[in-house]
Amino acid sequence: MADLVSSLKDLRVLEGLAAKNSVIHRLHPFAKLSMALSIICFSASFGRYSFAQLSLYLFYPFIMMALAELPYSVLLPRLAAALPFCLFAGIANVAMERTPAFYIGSIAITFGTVSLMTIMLKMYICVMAALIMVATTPISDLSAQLRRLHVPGSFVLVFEITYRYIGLLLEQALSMATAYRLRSGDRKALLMRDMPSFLGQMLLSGFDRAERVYAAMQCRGYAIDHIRQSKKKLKTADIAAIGLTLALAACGRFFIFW
Amino acid sequence: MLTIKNLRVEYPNGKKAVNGVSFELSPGENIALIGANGAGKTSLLLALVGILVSEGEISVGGTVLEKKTLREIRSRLGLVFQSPDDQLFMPTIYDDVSFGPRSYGYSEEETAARTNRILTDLGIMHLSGSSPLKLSGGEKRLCAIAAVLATEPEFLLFDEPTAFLDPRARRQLASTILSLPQGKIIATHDLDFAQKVCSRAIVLYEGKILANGDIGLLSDEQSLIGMGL
Repeated sequence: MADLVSSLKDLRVLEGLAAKNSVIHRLHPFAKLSMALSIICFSASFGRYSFAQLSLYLFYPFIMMALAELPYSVLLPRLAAALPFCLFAGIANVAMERTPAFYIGSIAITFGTVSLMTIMLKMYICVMAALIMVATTPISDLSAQLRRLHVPGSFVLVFEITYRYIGLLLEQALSMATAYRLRSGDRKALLMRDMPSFLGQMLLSGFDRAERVYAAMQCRGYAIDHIRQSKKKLKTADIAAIGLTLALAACGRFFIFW
Repeated sequence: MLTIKNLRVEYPNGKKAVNGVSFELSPGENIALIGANGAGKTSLLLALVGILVSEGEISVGGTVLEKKTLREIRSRLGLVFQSPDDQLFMPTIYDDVSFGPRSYGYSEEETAARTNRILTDLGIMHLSGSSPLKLSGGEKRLCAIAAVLATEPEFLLFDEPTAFLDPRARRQLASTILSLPQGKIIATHDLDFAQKVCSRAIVLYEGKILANGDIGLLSDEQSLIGMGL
């Protein structure tokens, strides 16, 4: 239950960071979206042993975090959530690919280890790029930009509803967990035998509530075809930021060889 | 004028939630919508804003509710939901109140002006930075009303506005409702509250209007029992 409470508190932290007023926050949402997407696409395009070349991309999270005045203490724990998946995917490579790629002194570094390090680095760069974008751009602006990029309305709708609804769902889970605890002799965790009915009830009541929340949004003018279009225009600084990011990313990808 | 003619709402299982309801609401008039649980009060309110599909005619100031006028009708009718928890879904009260004007495409300046004005008028400016999760029932209710008022509707629809409120919050809500100039339909079980804020009462029974008259009809206990209340 403590996890639910802390999830509820953490949920709005990124939105709070997005309300700051740094040089990055002031950039046009389209610029931030383009910069993040270009870094993600370029870094994802690297081969599995391109650790050294890929490490150049560390410039992006490092510089953006500094300019946006974002605390590592908020973003790194969220990054850690993706860690087990990448570690699991990469650890198999260590076992499978044992051919030495190079030596450090007398220690052989295998291709599998290089591959694992590359996967971890890719994960760090991609997840940080996405987190930095979310932590510097309000969700409503992101949705508007996604629509501007002709992302299907149903996708943007799901994205927005999920974001708005997740806090309410957690709140509901918290009150159900409290009710469970009060009637189960102050048990701290759910018993496995109670899990199906607990989750089933949460899903059913959550579905009803999601419909009511969506109705409330519709009543106040929300319609996917009318998602607010930003009237803000791209400024020279926005274009320069996109250009610089693209240029550095392309240089790192195509022109710098080790 | 809000005009409802022969309104019918039917659930997928064939049950008629609203069955041939007709009445009019004048600007500035407050109507209490009374009825037992399942009488069709909430269904009627949801049909008025086009959330539930209905037959019959609903018009606001001559504009008839249909697919192409849905957005306009929703901007002219503000529905305050029974549970503010369903209505307040943004991280802060300020964001929530500004959600409506933003959705309707108002500029940032106009949105901010409206939001600040409504929060000030309702005396909840101090809550603007708060999360809805941290407010009391009465505060949430006022914030939900503010969120609806931000689009400056001509008529307000309240679904059980006194639910979960303590006596002090009820009194505050009554004075807030009385201070709002819009015409209102207030669906409630709270007969004292209805008598305090409304001039007319409509009693629903199994989706049909059983009585439509002066609010004084709620004082006659025998009649109320006869109407299933």
